Amino acid sequence: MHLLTGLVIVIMAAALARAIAPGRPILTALGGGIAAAALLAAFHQDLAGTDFWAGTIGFLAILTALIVVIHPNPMVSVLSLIMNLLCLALFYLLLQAQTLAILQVIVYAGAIMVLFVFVIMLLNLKAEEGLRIGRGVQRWGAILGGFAFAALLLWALRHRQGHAWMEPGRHAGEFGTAASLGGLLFGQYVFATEAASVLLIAAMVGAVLLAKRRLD
Amino acid sequence: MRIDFFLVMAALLFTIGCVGVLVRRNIIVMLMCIEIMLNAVNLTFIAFSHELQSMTGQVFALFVITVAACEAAVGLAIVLALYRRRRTTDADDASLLRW
Amino acid sequence: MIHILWVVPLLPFAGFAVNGLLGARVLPRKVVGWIACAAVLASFVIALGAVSGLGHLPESTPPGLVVDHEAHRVTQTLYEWIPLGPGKDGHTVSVAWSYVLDPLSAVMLLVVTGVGLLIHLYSIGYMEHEDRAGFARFFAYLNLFMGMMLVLVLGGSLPVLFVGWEGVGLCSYLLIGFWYDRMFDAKAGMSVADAGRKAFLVNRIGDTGFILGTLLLLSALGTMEIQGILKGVPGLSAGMATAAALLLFVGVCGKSAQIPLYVWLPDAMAGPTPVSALIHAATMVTAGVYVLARLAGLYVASPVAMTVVAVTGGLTALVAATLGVAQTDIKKVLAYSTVSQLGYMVLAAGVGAFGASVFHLMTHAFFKALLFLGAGSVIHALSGEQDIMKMGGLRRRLPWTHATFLIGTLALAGVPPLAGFFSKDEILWSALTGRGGNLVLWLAGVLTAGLTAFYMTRLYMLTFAGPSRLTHEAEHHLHESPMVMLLPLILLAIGSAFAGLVGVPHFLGGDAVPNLFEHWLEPVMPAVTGVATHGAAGAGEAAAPLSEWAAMIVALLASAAGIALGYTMYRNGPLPERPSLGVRLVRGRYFVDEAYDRLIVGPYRFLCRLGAALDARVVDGLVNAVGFVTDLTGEMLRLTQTGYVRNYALGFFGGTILILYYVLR
Repeated sequence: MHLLTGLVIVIMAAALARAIAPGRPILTALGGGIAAAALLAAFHQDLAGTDFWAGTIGFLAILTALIVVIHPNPMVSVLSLIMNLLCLALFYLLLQAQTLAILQVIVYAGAIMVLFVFVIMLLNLKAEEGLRIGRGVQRWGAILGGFAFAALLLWALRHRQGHAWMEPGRHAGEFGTAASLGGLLFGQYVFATEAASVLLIAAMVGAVLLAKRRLD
Repeated sequence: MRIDFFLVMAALLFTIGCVGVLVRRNIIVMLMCIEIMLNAVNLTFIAFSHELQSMTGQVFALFVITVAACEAAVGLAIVLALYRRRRTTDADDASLLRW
Repeated sequence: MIHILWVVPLLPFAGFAVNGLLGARVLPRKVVGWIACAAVLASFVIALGAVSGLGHLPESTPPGLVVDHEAHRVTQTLYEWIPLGPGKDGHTVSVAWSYVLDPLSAVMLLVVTGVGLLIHLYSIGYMEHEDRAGFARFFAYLNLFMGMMLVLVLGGSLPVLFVGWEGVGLCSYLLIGFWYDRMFDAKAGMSVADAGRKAFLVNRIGDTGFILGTLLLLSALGTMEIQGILKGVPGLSAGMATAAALLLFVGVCGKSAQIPLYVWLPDAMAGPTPVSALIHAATMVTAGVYVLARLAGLYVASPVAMTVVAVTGGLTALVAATLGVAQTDIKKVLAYSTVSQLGYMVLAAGVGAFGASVFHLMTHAFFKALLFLGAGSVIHALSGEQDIMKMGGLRRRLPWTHATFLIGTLALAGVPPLAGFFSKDEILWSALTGRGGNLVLWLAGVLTAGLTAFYMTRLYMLTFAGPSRLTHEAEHHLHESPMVMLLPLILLAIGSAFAGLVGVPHFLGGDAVPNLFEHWLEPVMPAVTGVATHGAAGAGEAAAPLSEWAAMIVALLASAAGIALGYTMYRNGPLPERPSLGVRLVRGRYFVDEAYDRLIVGPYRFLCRLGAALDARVVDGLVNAVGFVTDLTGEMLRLTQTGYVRNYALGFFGGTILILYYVLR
């Protein structure tokens, strides 16, 4: 049953990749491969209902990330990134970070990404020809480095004794609520909060100045 | 399923984001890849906060979102200014330091 | 005057300084010449005074002097020159700058200053055609030479002697190469500068041996003072004594032109004739013989060394005499004659007759200098011609030169009662009966005497007698030399004639005519004087195959035969060309120079080229390689500076991976 589901999902992923990046068999295969890997990782962990959905969402997250990186059309990249952010928000939900999940959707996906969309439309960026991924050393160095990096990170986790997720009765009721978040923000970390607001103002001023048409 | 799943996920996302920054030439897409990286970090924070039962992780994640917002804003403003000057969004065209 | 002994070498140095600095531009020609001669004259006078004072040394010791009454020796120490540090027995060893005056050095002193004075005088006339700068340079060098030679003669320890040794070698080089821009032997491609270099380098080889011998003695005896060495000789092992003696003898061979280091002397004739007379006849080349006589005690202690010395001397004498027979340059004949006579002196030393050796040194100085100066007079008269084939019949045209030259020739040939006879006779007798003396050496000596008489007669006949073969040019300019050149000739002729009478051997003179020379030297060489003393070489004397009279007669017959043969063969000029193998061999000087060139100089030049190539390729290559590597590294590092931000980001990424790896390990 699970295997079947998994296979279906893999085929869907491949089709999706194919559709989004036509004429790129390698990329399609790559996308499908990573999706399969993600899924296997998910399946390995004794699939329960939540686990399955967590796995799917994870797969989607990685897929959309890949699309962001690979697709020539920046618009598609932006939309894919938005999808990615939504997947992450779902993750946050699963991890008892409700406030943050909502904030992610509102602020990140809702404001920042909208900004990106505006800029792309303003600059009227079209799909790049030939993807121009960059010359030899850069490209292969980056890809190899990426594999090495991923391997390193995963290797760092080798000695972990991870807690099981979602043990019943594990979490206090107040965990992840806005109240507790706010309490920390304005309690223990008030300085950081104020600093963040200063940062925001600075960013605003900076953005306005930088994007001005002409200083006359 | 263990928390490690999320950590693995975050690691993979971070790597993808890194590779994306290095591989793409369009500045805006590079910025987006940076966002991916920031999100991966957020995921790590929240996963650990869940494991350690500490809200600090989520606070941190909030700050990360804040900073990401600022950085995206300023970064895009720079992109706009650059575009006005040179009519290009190719990172390799900003190579005045090259002889 | 003994207490101003130290002034004697100093005066010629002063002359050198004055003439060298001021002579070229400031002082007029006459003044330069007189300054030089005055310096030597003053040295001569002081030397005379000092030597006469040796006879009656004061009982009380004047400050700064050390008097040895028994040996009639005065040592004047000026200052501590080289402090060497603790010696074997804990005392500090140091080398002092000291002069020693004893009968032996007195002989040398007077010969050097006396003959030197005459030659300085002569040079004023001979060098008159030189430009002012050259004139001054010549006399400056001559004075420098005199000063160095005096340091050598008076030196109380081997290092001081060596300073003089090296100094005369240097002056020899400077003076041989005086006309440095001329070609000496166009046929062989040898320039005057080459000749000077050759002399210096061959001497250097000898000097190496000298230094090694000195150091060997230092390590064995802890001292380099000559008297200290002689005192310490009984304590040396036979091997050590032999080694030191032989090493020092290498130096003697170099300086006194013995086989195998004689090759520089004939080519030294490239220098002006007064130089040949002074340096290569009377003084410098005798320095080696002087050293042998000085260190007589050391040599006597090593029979092996004595044999080597004697054989070398005898061989040199004979071989050089054969070479003198076929020369056509008037000076080259005399040069080979010098080598041959030096061989006699060395031979005498080798059989223990050190006194005879020094006696011959003295008489040889007189007549050889005379002969050279006479040859110079002839050359001067003929405006530079030196080939005897182009001379002849000068007897009537140059009367004074002719007369003095004849006296010199007869003296060299050993005709009694001229000087050469007595000294040569003594040497031949000791070759027969001295330590290690034997019939073979004696025969070699007799043969040499005959050859000497022959080639000198030949030289005389071809130059002065017979029909004239002069070119018209030379005929035209022919003139007798000025008085300033003739006076030395006359004085030297007198010396050549009568100087021998101070050393009449006992068997000839009996008690009526004492052997003054031997008596004079007796304090210094008590056990090793010439064979005329009873007892010392008594063993040899008793077993002599001939009596002294018989030996003398045989030698006289040899000389007479030589003269007669020379007279008859060359009465009518040179012989027709008949290049047989023997003649060609002798004319080519046995091809010794060529052999040296092939065997020694050639490989050395090869090594030099190798060294040069090594320097250019390897050493320079290494240095260049460093630069090249730096260049290359720069080129490679440059590739990281692309100007593209993404490449830099890749660099960050790589670094992060590395750091992460190391942190996680």
